Amino acid sequence: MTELLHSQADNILINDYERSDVAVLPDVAIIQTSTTGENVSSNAATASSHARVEPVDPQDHETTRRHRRDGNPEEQRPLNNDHEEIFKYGASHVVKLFVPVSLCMLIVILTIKTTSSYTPGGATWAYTPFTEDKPTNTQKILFSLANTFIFMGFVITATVILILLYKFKCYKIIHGWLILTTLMLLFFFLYSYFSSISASLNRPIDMITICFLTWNIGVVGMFCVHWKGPLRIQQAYLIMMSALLALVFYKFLPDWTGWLILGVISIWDLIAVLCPKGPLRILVETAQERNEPIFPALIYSSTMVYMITAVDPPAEPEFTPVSVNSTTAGKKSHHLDLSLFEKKQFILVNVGEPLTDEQRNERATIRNNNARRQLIPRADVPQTEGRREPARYVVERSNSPVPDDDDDEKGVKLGLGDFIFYSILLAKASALGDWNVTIACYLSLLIGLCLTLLLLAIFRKALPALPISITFGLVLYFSTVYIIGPFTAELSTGQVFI
Amino acid sequence: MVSLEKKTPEERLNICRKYYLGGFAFLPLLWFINAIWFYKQAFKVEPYPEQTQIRKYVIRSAIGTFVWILIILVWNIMFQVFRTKMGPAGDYLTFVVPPNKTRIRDAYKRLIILNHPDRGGSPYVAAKINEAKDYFESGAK
Repeated sequence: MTELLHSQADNILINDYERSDVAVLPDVAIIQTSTTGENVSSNAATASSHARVEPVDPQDHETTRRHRRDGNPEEQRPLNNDHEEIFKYGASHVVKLFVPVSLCMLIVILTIKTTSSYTPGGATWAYTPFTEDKPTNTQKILFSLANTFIFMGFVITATVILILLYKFKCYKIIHGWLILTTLMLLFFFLYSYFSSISASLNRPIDMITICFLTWNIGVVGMFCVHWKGPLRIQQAYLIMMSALLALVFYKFLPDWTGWLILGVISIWDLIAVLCPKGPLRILVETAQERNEPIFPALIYSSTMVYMITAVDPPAEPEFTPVSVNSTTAGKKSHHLDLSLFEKKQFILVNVGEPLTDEQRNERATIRNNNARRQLIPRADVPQTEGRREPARYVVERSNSPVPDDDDDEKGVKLGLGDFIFYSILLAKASALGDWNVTIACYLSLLIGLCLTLLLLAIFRKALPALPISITFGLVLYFSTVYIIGPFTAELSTGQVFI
Repeated sequence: MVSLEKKTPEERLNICRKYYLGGFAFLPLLWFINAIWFYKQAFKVEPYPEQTQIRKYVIRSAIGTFVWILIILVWNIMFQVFRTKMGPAGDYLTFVVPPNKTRIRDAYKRLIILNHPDRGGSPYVAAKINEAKDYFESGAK
């Protein structure tokens, strides 16, 4: 599969080269999800997402590719035009991000619609201890706010712990934590997912087959995510893990709490990434100072998925996509006495690996001696707490003629936390059963993604991916439910067609 | 993300071997991925010294996958056909989650709406639906 991608890319590059006047974006997109706080947060391991978008210069991309193919970098490098860069980068990367995000949402919605065990209203979990069955609306809001703050507390704690761990170079802990989280995520949640699927199918499947399936998919996932595996498989696993996490979140978040959490998390994301004192920003800057690859990160890359381990780079930084959920797993340590259920949540939460972008960038910087157009390598601040993973957009362009294992060099990277929260938003929107609302929210999320990528191209530094999309999504959800829905209903009743 | 072309032949062989050896732990999926992923490397690129080894692994992985698929198919067919006849062993092996309260209620609502006696549904069937709901709610905890 990787060969397939490469050959595609090569073909496109060759074509681009021939039609140099046509602005064709390289067919490479890297989505990087970095989640931090695998080890840090025990409970609300929400990974704050940083969207780091780095513009990718397609020309450079082509040049790099050509370098790799022909080994004659100098003569073939076309002139890079900054002005052109902004416009060249964008469309294909955006589309490359659309597909995985849409797939994730599709999986979540399909599962919710077909099985009934993922609907909210089941047991509560430790992150949101208050229920919302209150008689008056005011009380509901108060308790939802309390829930939200508790949840955010977990997330922030996880982020801070992650950053502390990173600052003190406890790479092994983070790496081990990440592995543990993905392990729990893959096996535990997969098993419960199969159980709900088979229950809703109403077909008796024997225990042996289920265990066999879980074992297979789990181990192959560990192989592909934490070691080496084909790109498509890695992407598929990242999407699957995001979908599983989103389902668990959706199931256990009470209604109003969910909306409040979505809003507060996007604000937190904004603060953490952009404020000078924000934890994620500190993380990014520390990583840049150290100029080293940091922890394994969970990144979705449309071209390559990789996880940067704490192994020393330049040799071969391995990028493994770590699901955001790792961050949630991090919280486990603090809640050993809690029920299994909660533990499960914890584990979920602590997934999340810090940015790979950063690591990648580090590596790229280290490795690149020529004029490498490494745009602001920013480490995506790992998302610590909760399940959230920082959404990071990182588009890296590496012109290094050296064939290295950095497949992650080009493309846009998006944090897994972003996947998860987008899916949660859409799941809540589709709970009403009204297609208008669902499609409106879906489109608003995509438009938010486009805008974020555009901003990435303009600002060329890590950006949070959550705020814009979630704001659009929330606005459109509430306006559709309360304004547009009745409006169109009235129109069709009155037989007025617009 | 591994792009096989960027790796040295030794590394490719190493990856292929690890996948192959890992598949022996009841992991036909590893073999399957191994066979597909390295297929091009084994047969389509220009030969290099490690290619024969990779070819060997790919072929064996493919055979192993095939064998496992057969085993799984046969087992599942046997299970589905003989499940009821196996007695308590069959029930033990079955992976069915007993329905919980909400599921019972949802299913009940769905069925009773479709088959309401006031709307043309049969009263006998409606009575049976009610009976089933009571049975599940009492038996399933």
